[in-house]
Amino acid sequence: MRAKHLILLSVIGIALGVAPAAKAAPSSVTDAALSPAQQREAKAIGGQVNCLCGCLTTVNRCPHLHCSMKAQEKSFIAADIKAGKPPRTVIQDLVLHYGVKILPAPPPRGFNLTAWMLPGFGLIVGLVVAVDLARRWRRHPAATDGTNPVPLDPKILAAIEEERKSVE
Amino acid sequence: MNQFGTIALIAGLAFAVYGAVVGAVAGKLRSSRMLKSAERAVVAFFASITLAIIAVEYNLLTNDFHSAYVAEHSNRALRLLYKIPALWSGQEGSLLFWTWLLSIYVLLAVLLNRRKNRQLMPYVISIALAVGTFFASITFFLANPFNRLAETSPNGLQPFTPADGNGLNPALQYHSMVIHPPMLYLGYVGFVIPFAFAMSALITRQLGDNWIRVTRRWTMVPWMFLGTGILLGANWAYFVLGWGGYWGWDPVENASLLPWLAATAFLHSVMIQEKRGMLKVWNMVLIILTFFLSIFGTFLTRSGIISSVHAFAQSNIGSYFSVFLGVIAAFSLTLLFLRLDYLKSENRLDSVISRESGFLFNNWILLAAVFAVLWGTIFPILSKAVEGVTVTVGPPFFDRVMVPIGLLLLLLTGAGPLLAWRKTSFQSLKRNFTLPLIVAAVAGILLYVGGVRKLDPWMSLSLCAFVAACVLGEFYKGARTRMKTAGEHFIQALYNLTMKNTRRYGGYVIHLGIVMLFVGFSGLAFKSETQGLMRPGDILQADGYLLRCENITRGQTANYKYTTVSLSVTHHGRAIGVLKPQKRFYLASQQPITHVAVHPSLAQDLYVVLAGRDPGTGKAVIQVFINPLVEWVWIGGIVMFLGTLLALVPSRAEREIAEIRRKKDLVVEAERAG
Repeated sequence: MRAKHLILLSVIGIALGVAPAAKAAPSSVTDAALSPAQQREAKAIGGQVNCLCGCLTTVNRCPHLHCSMKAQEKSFIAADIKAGKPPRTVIQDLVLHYGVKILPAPPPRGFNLTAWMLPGFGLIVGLVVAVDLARRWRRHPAATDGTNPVPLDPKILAAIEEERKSVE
Repeated sequence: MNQFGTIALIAGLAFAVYGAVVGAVAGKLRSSRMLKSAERAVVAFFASITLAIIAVEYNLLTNDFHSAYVAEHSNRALRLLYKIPALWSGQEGSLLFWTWLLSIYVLLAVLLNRRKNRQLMPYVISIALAVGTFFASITFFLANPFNRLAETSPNGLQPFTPADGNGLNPALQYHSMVIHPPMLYLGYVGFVIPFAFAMSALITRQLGDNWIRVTRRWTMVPWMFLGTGILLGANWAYFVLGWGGYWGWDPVENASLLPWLAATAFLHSVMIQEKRGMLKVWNMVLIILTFFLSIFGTFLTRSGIISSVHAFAQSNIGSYFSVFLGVIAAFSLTLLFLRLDYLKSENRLDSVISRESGFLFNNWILLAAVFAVLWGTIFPILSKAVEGVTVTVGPPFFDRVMVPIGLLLLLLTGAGPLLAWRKTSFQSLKRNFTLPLIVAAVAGILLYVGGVRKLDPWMSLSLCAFVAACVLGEFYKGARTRMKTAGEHFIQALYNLTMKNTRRYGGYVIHLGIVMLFVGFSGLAFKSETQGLMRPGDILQADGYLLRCENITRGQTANYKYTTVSLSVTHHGRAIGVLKPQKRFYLASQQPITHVAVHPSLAQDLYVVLAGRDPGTGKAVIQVFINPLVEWVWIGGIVMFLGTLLALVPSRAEREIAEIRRKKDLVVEAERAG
């Protein structure tokens, strides 16, 4: 029991110590601190990552006026660009910091690869099925071409007979 | 009024249960007396739910904040125009509204089939009212709009009436929001009727042409409403959300697209069954899928399983919807399986190059689109379940996957109608396709020379030219034949041609609307964006436009505070007017909302957003988007709506056949009576 408490305390201690480092609030660098070319770069990156405030759009398109999440992400991007990191590295840093949900589409790796593959696969399978269906329809005569009539319910046959009589 | 509404809702629920049971018994016993009783239950169901709707509207209009729904979704300062639609702005009201629209559809089905389809009607009523029972139950037991506010006191729960309500969500206080949800719901709900007819045909084994003929119209109506609703939603997003676009592949947007795509597939493949007696099982599958997806869309919106800007608050009704979806799938697929012997093809395919195979491939593409959209929409849930990681599946995914599918579909939109039934000869192919292909080639060259170098929009616009040439060519060839044979002048020939076969030419008009939509979609590839800080006197330049800030005004109404920036705009030196983008801050809900200013034209929209105020300089932050060809999306939507209306008008031949059928029915009835 005591050992468990010790482990728990150690874990909490490590978490408290490490968490601020891992999830540190990005430095407060703003776009204003960047050159015009760097600002364009930051803007391009802002169009490639989601704003995580819940607006379900990119950082550039977040409609919220004073969105703290948007501001935080922009600041993160600006700090990385100011540090001379290329856009690819900035996006990698963002993913490391905020998680893969920051990307507007799943990266094509592991299970996420199925997201990209299956629609194309479905399209091809559908095409094969449609072509096969068309071929089979051509080869085989239809069920009602005289030899193999569709079975009719006796009740319906009786109703048809009744209707025929009533019309006659 | 809350008590009155509650009683009306209970009565509606009771009539729905009664009608569902009696309808089924009437079908089983073939009792016309019980069928009459079930029909009366439909009228009573409609009347009860109408009274419940009146009760909610009364509460909203009289600011009865004792009602929890009114306190949550309205306030005193809310304009009358928005008090009425507040009915469908929340979970409870919108479910009641869903139930009410269902009651209208069932009532119409009963009224329009008083003398027709008598063997189908008992089960149609039973199935439609079973769905009505589900929605009325959910409304009454889980999301009741007549619940009252209460507060805890030492004496227990006491009634509580706040001085004012929370107000309507500011994003919904926009004119297209007044009709967007009803249109969408008319679409979703309306698919109950074709589903009920299909199930009734399966139960009664009446699987000839009749159910298809009846169902086609009942599918076209909700299809039209759903399509219009989707585009009205896009229009709302464009003018209110202020991000410069109209479609964000949001899960709720996707959910509305799914049944629309499935119903589109059905409306095409149904023609093969009518003309050639083929694809009978497939048509059943499609109508089941359409209805299933319409309920699935409602489930997605309300269960909270997927994050969406449109979704209602997370609630416990999602699990009930999932059970209901399971019941629909189990019931309909079992029934279909039991009746497979009755659904065999009457004909065979004469040639792979024929109208039939054109429809087959059209169905393939549409179903691939359904699968791709569904897969992308539910993938975040799967990813979370499999890997424990939340991913976002947004526009980059859908753009990549859906663009090729969309282009293939566009190609078939033009090529399909040019293929002949049974077999298309090489001569016929050459005759029909030469001109459209030349038009497409010329358009492609002109577009390339004109600077369109991106592959997707280049292909899309070239295909648009191809499809437009195909469709317009059909009108021209038909009119020219009439001019020769009937001696009519061109306009008269065009009119008579269209009215003689409204379904065919209405369909062609819809295809022209699709072309316009794709023209609009293609423009997205060329949009541009500029941002600037402005105070009075400042000038902002954006792609040939000059925007001069004239003044910035601030004010307040009873409902919101606002800031408006007046911008005088010139385009290549020519004055085009004053645009006034606005930012509002709603007092009751404490939420800001953007009202963009747009200068529309067929070539491009100038789209201006007041994004806010720069904290450093105090200047207004103005975003300017140049959105090419967007207007074609709205025009395409209107053309599609009109085309559907045209296709719904019975053609002369159809009217004559209906008259003969009616007279025959009257004779049979008179002979039976006497």
